[in-house]
Amino acid sequence: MPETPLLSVQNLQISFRGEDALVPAVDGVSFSIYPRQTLAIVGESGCGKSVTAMSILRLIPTPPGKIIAGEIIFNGQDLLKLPEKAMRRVRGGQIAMIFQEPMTSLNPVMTIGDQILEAIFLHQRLPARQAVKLAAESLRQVGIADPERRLGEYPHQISGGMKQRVMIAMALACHPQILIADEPTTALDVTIQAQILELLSTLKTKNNMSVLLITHDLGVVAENADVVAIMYAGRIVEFADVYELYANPLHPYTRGLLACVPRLSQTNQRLTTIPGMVPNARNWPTGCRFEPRCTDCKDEARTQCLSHLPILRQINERHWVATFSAPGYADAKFTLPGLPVRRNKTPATGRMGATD
Amino acid sequence: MLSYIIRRILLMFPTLIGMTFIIFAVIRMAPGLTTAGGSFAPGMLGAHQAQLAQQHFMERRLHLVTRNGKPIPLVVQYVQWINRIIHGDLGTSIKFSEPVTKLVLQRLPVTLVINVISLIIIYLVAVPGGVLAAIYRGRFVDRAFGISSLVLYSLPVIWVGSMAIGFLANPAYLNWFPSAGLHATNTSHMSYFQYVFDYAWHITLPVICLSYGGFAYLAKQVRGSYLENMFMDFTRTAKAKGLPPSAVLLRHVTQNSMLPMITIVGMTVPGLLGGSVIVEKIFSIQGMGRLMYQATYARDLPVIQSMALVSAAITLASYLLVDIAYHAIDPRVNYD
Amino acid sequence: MTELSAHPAIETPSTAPPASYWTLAIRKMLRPWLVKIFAAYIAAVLLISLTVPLLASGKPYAIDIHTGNGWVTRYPLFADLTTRDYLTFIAGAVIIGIVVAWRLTRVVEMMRRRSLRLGIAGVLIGAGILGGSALAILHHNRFDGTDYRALIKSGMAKNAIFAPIPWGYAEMEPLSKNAINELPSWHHWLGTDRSGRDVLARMLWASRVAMGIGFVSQAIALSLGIIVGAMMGYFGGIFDLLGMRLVEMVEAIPTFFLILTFIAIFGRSILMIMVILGVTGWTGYARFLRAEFLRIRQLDYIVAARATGMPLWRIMFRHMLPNGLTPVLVSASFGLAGAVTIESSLSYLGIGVRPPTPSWGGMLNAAGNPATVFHWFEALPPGLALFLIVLAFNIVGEALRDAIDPKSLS
Repeated sequence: MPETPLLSVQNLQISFRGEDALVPAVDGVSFSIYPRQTLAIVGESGCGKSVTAMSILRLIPTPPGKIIAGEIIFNGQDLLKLPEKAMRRVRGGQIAMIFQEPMTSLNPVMTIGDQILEAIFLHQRLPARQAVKLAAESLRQVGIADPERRLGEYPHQISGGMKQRVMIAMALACHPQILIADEPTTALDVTIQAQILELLSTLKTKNNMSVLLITHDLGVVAENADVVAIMYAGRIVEFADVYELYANPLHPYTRGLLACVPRLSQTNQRLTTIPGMVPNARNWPTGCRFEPRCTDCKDEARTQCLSHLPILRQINERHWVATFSAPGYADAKFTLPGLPVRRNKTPATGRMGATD
Repeated sequence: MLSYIIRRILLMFPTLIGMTFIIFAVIRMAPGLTTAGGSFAPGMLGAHQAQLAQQHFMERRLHLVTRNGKPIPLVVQYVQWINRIIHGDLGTSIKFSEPVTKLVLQRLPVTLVINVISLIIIYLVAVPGGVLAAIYRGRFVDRAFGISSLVLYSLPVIWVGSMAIGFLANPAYLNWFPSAGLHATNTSHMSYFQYVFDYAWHITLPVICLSYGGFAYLAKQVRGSYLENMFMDFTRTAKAKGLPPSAVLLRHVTQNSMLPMITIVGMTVPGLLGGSVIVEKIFSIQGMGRLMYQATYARDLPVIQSMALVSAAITLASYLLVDIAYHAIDPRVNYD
Repeated sequence: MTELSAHPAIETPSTAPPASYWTLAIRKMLRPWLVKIFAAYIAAVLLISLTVPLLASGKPYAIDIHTGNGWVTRYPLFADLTTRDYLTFIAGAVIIGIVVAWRLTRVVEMMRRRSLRLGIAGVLIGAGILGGSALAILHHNRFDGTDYRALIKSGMAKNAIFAPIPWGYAEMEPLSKNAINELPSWHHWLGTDRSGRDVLARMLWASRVAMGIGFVSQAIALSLGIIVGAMMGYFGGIFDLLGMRLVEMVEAIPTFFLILTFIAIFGRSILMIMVILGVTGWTGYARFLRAEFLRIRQLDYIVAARATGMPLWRIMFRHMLPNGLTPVLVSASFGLAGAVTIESSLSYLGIGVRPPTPSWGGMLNAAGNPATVFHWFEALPPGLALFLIVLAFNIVGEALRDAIDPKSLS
């Protein structure tokens, strides 16, 4: 029996009100996540990946942001059409989110315990004593030693990595089906990054949830993701399962990104860069948005690249791509990207109770 | 916490002592005070009053500045002055021929009550206004509140006060409010409620005049800090938890916006005290401000220097209270 | 989805040199029509206050007088101008000169523009101060007690050309006419006060007191505040500690109390009030500039400049002062509003500018005891003028602050 996706985003378009015009941030994004799967969205800053993640919980500040079109189907209902009250039950309860800046994402004048309890009481009817127990348990789950004492502490009393653990504990306290992690390790030290990611993948298996991992770090993706979506200038340009993507990258942008990842085997080589810059959203090219930086489109193919925006098409059962240069692209059709695959690698047994 | 309060009070003393230096120095600069045989020229008095003031002044000067015909060194003068202050003796008023301590104790409660009521009214109007302006930023409510509070802030008290009396407390137009004082002339026959009502009726116009100008500043600060906190990451976290917007605003944003609001209480106090000079003069209220005005008019130096000292002490005390409240609320500050 | 991207920002190449930071800020500030109106109002009041000796005077510009040698043309208004009037004109010429120079130097390229403007402003101000002091020493006021209206009536004078408002600020209608507390009429456009003086003439003259005290006192306060604040922010350490204690002490005494103390001790001539408002009003500027300096010191570009080996004093004058000064200058707009309010309050209380020099506050007080005999039509013009100028300063200040605020919300 084929699995059904847990969450599917279809043709999402989001714009922000600029000084004098609407500036598109996300321009027709579609993808889906299956249960117990980690989907990574990868892209440079400003490509719209964070906006996409925030729009799933409808957390985009409006104004200036506005969802122009699209559907976000979760458990059979369109989150964008849900009344605000029902939406609040989804937030935190069924879909939780953690953010890039653990330093500022916790309320500085509330104790950690109060902030976790707030989430628990919102979504579960529990007597106070049991709720405190649950809060302590969720702190222990993310590897925080002596959780009962930590509950009474304020965020400024703990370290950055610890704060991100608290954020995860808070997000998981109500057992969500999906955890959206918006660059959860960008602001942390490298050693702590690895611990947090390990913790996330452990908890994902343990809690049977899906993770939507937003990142710009392909190294992180290779370690943690099952399925990868590459975003460029407001659109998904490539979507594949992680092995397929690394083995057979089809979009020139993906290849560029992969070439940029430094490898120890190539010690005597300079780091590769992608020439050119990300186009300004106010002034996107009419054709393919990667065309100005593209190495593939030359000569006669260029006319098509300049005039037509390639849409995402499924070129084999594990691979979607949006470039005219991909073999078989011309005959392929658009389908909703989504793969019910999971890596069967058992999660590395991490050192729980890290002392960061 | 207690040790913090004690330390904070001890820290206040250098400032207070520095202040006594400044006040002492400024008062000693008065022409004719330190030069032998200098004359005191009261610029704003009638001839008879001037003569009296001159006489008082010379006596005081002789008493303060010389002993047995020899000038007292400045340091000794200063120490003597401080010593008298510590013993509760602020000198004797030239104009009223009464101990300044007694005058201040008579007048201080009057001013304090009116100022505290005004402060409460300022907060009752400006805080909800600022919060609404932050919620509806850029919309009509925000603009209307911003502009009207700026207009109120720009309205000169002297004009509003005299117009208010002229039209609302004048038998020729509307005689709704009393034009002067704090009580009816005869209060002996009144019951307690009548007395309170009479008092409220008397202070309505003064309190309005003292408070309307304060809305703009506070409201702007409240709006600013609410707006700032409304776009903070922790607010986003709270929303992502599924909290309703009202709870996000009332719990997370408000808690973080309390701190600047508390600081402003302290900053408002000197302004209110200064404003009470004008309001008490216009409405003939016998408070600190009016005493200061009368003292300036009569160049009553003992009263003036005491008023500067007392008002500074009040301001420092309010700063202290604010600091303590701040520390009680903000967990990030430790007391040690 | 394509219609969204249909508004590409078209960047037209411009031949004009790029506008300076201040030009941009002022242009942005002036965008709302309300701000435009109030800025124009301030300019108008400033212009009136600078030219008022020529606008409202009981002396004619020119008049033919019958003397022993026949008809002689005299220029009583110009002959009657006081040293203070001339100083006002010099101040006006300097201000207008600076504004004109500012506009003219727009075409100079960016690098030279600032030094050129500062140079011109410095030369103009220097020339103004020199000329002013020479005038103050050399010029003597001549009092002309002639009643030219009576002369015309008696036929001893003719062909008089009067100022637009043909009344002086202290000129009373003769007691015989009993023209006190008159309602507005063609003769006296805003009526007369309790001494039979023309209210409109006094209103215009009072603008000179208000603007003069406002601008001069804030100039003093700004200079003091900038010096103390820059020292605190630059040297730090013991300077900062002592300076901040001084600021705290001065601020702890309510400003109005402090001003009254100074007035009781040092008297209340116009010059003294300017100095007192300046000496009591600098703390805010000092605090502000210090905070800006401490903030800017931490910024990357200052750290970068220091890393290149540039001496700190040079960094301070080339990089820190211009950036730190902007918000301070903007807050001076509120300082002006405050100074005008305080001046009028002092005059209202009878401890400000001495009569007969008109001040809006004094005129408000002269409208009578509001509880008994209240001439509201006399209280209306000065109150309104005061309100409008204070509102104008506040609105322009707010707009300027928003314009220079990089993250102005809403």
